[in-house]
Amino acid sequence: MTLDPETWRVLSPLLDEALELEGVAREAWLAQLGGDAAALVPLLRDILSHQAATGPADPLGQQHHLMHLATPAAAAPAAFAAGNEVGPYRLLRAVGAGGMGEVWLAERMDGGLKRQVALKLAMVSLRRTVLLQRFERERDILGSLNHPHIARLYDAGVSTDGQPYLALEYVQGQPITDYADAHGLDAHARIALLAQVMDAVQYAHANLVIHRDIKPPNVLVTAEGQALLLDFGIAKLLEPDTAQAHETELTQLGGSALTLRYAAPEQIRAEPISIATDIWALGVLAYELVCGQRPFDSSDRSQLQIDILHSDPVRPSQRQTGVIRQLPAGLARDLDTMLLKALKKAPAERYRTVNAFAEDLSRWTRDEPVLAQPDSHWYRWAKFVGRNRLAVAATATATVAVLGLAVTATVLGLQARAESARATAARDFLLAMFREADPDPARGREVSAKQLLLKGQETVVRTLADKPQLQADLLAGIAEALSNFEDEEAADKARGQVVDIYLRMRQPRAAALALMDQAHIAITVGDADRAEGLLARADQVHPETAGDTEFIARRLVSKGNVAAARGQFAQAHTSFTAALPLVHQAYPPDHAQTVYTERILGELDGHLGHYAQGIERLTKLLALVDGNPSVRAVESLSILDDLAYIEFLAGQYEAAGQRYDEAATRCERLHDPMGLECAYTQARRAENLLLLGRSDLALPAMPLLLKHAFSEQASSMAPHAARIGHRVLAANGQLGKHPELQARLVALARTEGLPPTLKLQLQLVHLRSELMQGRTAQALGELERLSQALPASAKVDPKARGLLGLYRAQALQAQGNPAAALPLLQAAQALYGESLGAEHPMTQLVAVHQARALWALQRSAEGLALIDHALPVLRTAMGSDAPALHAVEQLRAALAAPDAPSPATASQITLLL
Amino acid sequence: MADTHPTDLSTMVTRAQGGDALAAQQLFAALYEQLRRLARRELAKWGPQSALGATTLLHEAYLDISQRDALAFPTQAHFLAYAARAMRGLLIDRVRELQAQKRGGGLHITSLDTECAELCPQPELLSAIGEALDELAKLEPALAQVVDLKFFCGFSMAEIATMQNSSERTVQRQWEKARLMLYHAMQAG
Repeated sequence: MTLDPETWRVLSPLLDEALELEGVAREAWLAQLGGDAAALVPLLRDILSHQAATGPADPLGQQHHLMHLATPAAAAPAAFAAGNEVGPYRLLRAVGAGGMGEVWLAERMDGGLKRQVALKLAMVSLRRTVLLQRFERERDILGSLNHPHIARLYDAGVSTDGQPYLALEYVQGQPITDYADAHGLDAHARIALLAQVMDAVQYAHANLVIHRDIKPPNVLVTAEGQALLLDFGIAKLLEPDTAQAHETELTQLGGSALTLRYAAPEQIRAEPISIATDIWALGVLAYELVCGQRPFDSSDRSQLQIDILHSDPVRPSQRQTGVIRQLPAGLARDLDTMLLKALKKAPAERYRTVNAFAEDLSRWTRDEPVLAQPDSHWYRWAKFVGRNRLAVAATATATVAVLGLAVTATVLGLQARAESARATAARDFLLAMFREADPDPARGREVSAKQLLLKGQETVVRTLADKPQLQADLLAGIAEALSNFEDEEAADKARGQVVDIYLRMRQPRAAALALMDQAHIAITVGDADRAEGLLARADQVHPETAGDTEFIARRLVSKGNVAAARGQFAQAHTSFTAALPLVHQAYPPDHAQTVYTERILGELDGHLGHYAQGIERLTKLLALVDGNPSVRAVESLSILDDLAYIEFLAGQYEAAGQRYDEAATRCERLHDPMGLECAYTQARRAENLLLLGRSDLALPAMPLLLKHAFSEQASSMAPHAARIGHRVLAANGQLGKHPELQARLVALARTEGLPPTLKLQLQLVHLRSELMQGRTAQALGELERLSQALPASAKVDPKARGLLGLYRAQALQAQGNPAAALPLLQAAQALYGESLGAEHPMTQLVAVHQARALWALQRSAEGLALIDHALPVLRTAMGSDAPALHAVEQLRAALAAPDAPSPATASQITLLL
Repeated sequence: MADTHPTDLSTMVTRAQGGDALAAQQLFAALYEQLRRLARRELAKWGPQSALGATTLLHEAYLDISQRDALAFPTQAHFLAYAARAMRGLLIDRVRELQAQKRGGGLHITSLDTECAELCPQPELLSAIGEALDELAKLEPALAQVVDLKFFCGFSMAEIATMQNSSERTVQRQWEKARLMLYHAMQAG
């Protein structure tokens, strides 16, 4: 019976209403229906009766495998038959078939050695010439592999009709897993069997051959218990044409799902294959041998890829299957450590060689201590620290693509090469999400990338409740991207959601780590109290346990960050110093976490005035990371920046200048050239150039400095940009070009809650320009007033106090009163010395000012002594050709010979400070 | 007239939306062909052991189509409104195909096929559902679409809600209503 639209129009809303009601209420409602509706009551009852359908009567309500049938069954008939001839071989009988092709027992018929071989007939679509060339080249290499546990490759070629074939030693045996089960081998015997295989793989690696496809069907064990490894390097022989560079490693593997289960993350990502790839596969094989199941075993290909890329395997000792159950707990846990090290996502973190892995396993079978260190998960955290922001503009459609990649890169740890990276569900999910969020991509309508992220966050929370791990990973990635947009508030919210998810999943350790991530955001925005609260909560959720090196170190780093945010640098230094050995224990020296910890320690060295130590630490670190592909370029830049700054603080202006030039160039490449990152670098670079007397070189940075000086955001950058921008203009005689900057300085100096030192610096830079413009009396009045308003107890940097004295002295000299200026200058020098040390070049620059006053007082000998002490210090610091030295040298000449021309005026020298 | 048989997707979509039944039919046929071709391509690439889910396949198809013809479907939701129906056809055909193979002693029974023998509805039942759905689509296309997306394509309620920009509760109610109407129709027919 088909319903007509008229009936449906009446029926549909009635049905809606009925479905809202249940039992007696529904009965009562049906009974009272009148009019048109009354006539439909029997029909309604009939329809509603199906609500009770269950079991076979409810096909729509059951779990079907329908959705998995989208791909057709490969019902391809066997392509070959016994008696067929392929090249010089005659086929005898089929011995196997796989995703890649068929395997036949065959014999040579051209009168050569009558040897039976396993003839592999691959189904590949490569041009014959390409295949031939490659086969000839590789055949000799592979054919030379001569090892008792490697099945020989006798021959490889292409028949005249284009069928590629491989003639291999015919091995009668069982796959290693089947053999071990059939013979009831215990864990030790299984590992010993695997040792034969590892020996073979190590031998091949020594001959520069990588297997690429180690899996049970390729590891056969003969009746005599000899393991033989098949198909060495054959995956590479059948690699697609290099012209099709976008094809992935998996394609070459002829990719059955079985192969995928042994594929390493880098194979899925189409990244370079190395011996670490074989080490991964050996790890999977070992895992399967002792646990009776593979570490990653989803039947869905996308899920399997996600798991291989992102999920931590279940620890072998926690598997409820396999021979590992028969082991004492301690021994089983040692296996955990070794197998999980072989199964590290990052190739560099796995065993360095098959031998190292084999030796650990052999130590284990002999019951000796294992060298591998327990697993850790720091890498996640390491991604969220530092000032590593992406160069992403905040609006415009192009950013949608950029953002998709950025998030993908974050979440998946992929290089931003969307084309070569095979789609994974996570990427699909994100890209689909962004497409849907973009109302009209074709018309190029502007959509804020940040809005997309926020919408993404909402969608992930709403739709992925049943996949909490994926949800947590995506949210963590979105949080990082939000941090890249400097929306720390939204990032904080996303981090909080990650914490909640882990708490719901009953993973207190992961939750505690996520709380530390959240605390880091609080640090970034300078809210040390909140960070401390979050860390306290982390302690509550998961108190640290002895031996959990990684967790303890992360706590230490977090606490150190809080202390640093409070300005308690000594305390922060203690925490980081305590964390450092633990970090080195857990990570290679070029690991992101190690690099971060070292860098922050170097920065803290600088803050504490341990310049030499900080410079040494960061110089070493920079040498280690520069050009190292596993360290992000932005991280190297941060180190370069920090190193330059410490050199500046240490008074090594020439060296700092070179570093800053390099840092500025790199910054423009890695970040938004007009963004905050580059503003910091350029401001510090300009300050250094001013000291060197090369202020003209800072002029090109003026637009950037002006932009940030007038930034409306509550950015701590504005006062610095204004102050340094002002000094650059003044030094170039261009203050008149930007009168608005003067007003901005005054306004900024009045900002509520400004640190007193910064406030004083802003006031001084303004008065400095007054002085330079000859408004001496007015400036002096202001300076006196400032000086009186500044109690000796005020917590102001002694250098700023010293600078105030220096400017007062300068005003007095300009008024022809060097006698009054001299004691002020002596006091200033003492203040600088107190802060930086008597021999610091900046202290010595103050001494130069004294010498100028002494010249005016005609006390040349005293002045000359000061200058002769200062000059070598300044030459070392600045390099002997720094323009800043000219005025000093001129002054020296005047002091040395009374009839020499008048030295530079005080204000010319003041330019330097 | 030359343009009675549009060949590009954009035109087909526009006409189908305007109520042109022929264009709608052509659109389904084109999408069906597209999905089938993509499924074959994936099979060739990954081998028979790897089951490619309907949702993934639809994603791939959308990416594929939007690369070639960005105007045809402005969003994936637009695409799915038509493609889900095509996917239904593809899956019903696949189940039929498997049954035929089994009866004819087809060689290549993958584990998935074996699973399907136990866990897939009979092709006759699926055809009946398909026909009842076509009838339902005439009365209220949105209801039929929810069934296509959930039952045939395997999307979750939450995913469908996101696609259709409605709430999960609304989708749940649509699903329940559609289910009752389908059983009613199948019993009557």
